[in-house]
Amino acid sequence: MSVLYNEVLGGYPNFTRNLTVKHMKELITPCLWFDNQAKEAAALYCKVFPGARIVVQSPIVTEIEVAGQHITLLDGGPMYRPNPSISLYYICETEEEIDNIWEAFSRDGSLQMPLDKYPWSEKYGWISDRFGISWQLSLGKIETGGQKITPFLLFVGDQYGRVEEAIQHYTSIFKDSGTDSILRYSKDELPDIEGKVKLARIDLDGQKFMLMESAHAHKFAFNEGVSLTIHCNTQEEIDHYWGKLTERGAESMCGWLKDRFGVSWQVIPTVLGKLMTDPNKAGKAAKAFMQMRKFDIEKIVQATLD
Amino acid sequence: MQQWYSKIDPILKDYVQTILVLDNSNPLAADDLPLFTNGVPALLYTSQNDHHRLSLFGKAVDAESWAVNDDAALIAVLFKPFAIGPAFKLSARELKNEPIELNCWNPQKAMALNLQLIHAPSTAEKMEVLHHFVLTQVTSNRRECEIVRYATDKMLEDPKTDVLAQILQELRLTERTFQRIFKKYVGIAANEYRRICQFQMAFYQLKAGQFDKLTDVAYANGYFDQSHYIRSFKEFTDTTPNDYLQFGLKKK
Repeated sequence: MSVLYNEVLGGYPNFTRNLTVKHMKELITPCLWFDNQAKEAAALYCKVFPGARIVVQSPIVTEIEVAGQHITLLDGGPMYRPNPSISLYYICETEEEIDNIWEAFSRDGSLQMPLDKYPWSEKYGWISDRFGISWQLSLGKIETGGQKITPFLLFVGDQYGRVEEAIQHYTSIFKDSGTDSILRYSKDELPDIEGKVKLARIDLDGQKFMLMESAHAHKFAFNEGVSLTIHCNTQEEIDHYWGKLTERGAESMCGWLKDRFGVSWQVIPTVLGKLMTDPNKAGKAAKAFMQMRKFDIEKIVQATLD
Repeated sequence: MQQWYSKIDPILKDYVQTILVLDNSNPLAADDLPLFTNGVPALLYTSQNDHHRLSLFGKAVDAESWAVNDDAALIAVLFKPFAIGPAFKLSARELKNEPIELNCWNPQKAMALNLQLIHAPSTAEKMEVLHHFVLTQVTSNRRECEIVRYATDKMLEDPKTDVLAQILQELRLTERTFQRIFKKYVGIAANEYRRICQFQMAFYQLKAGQFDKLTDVAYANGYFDQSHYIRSFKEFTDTTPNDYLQFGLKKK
């Protein structure tokens, strides 16, 4: 893989190069946190996901595209470990695809639910790969779920019982949003309480998300290991998402925040992608945003002109 | 190659002793190392084969960290005593043992800093990046940096009992706030620190023989009387000033 990149990049592996023709990215993309293994992980995903490719390769940020969807992989160090609180629900359209991925992820991975037949799928399994990224693989048709990869938020522990509030909150923040379906627990599914949300499918600005709450004793909680990035074109958008999501949440550094449920979000200007791929501007942009909590587009752009 | 950064910002000069750069062209032998690095807190950047590491050392950079191999560079921002804690909002307790990796201290900031370092091709440019980073840390935590610096300097220079009241007045702080900040970043209570400074000053005088009677040493260093001085001396050394003068510290 790296040989190929060196060729494509003309021997400048140190600098981020966006290898894609300019295209519209989704508003919200998942971001996965690694300790020095982002490139290895990206190589694995591109090997096992049909048609997947690396679109950005740089020392810290790697971005892959799978079926038109983008996933960012960050090499941020040992501080945050991904866990199953946010998993990626991946629809396989053939048995061969699901078997291949399952086999690859099983190597040094850890199992949540074995690959088997379940009431909701002929073939389904839940597994964390060796990097700790949690995947739900399901044989099915993409049309049913709406998209190949769907972020899946699992509300456990203190957050149990808050899915309905989360749906309200998220659908009020993103335009053109709504609830596609809600499935609730029945009275004989203890320890889960009747009426709590077993599975909700929501749509935020045309993108699908799944939410579930579980009363079982899970030893994980939302953290920065898997975050959701919102790509904003304007400062107004940044202000809007930042303001709404930090309500009863918490600001962090460099565009990061935690919402009221503890879910980590990054509110990032789209122009940053362009600045960070320009070797003359990337350092200046990073210098400017190192001190920021909420991103200030004007200040960042100004800093790169000096 | 060994060089010193010469453009340290005036604000930083109160908190940073110096910035040292070593790189591969002429590896150092262990005893070539600058002596003062021992016991000095530091922010250390090392780079080898495109692998970067940034760590905060609370007390001293351990000896093996100074090894500079082929294709490697090392930049050490050497702080004055107690300055690294308030600048990075790390307590003395947190800084006590293992070095703290910057990407564990604040992963997002560390990432932004790393991006700058990656895009600063030369060692000189990297040095500018780190200088700017430390400057922003100090300026954004200026108040606490100043409190710790002023109080420790003041007590070192004049460790008498009433110095604490003077410090509170000078810094316009309540005793409670001051004690909390001091304890957090210096690791011991302010009065404990003062007593150590006081003992140390008196000890220098005693050792140098600059006195006629022991009472002179006691009064000159702000002890209430000779017996207070002897008690304090015993507490720190487990011996008395007279025994020390006769037998040295080893005897007891």
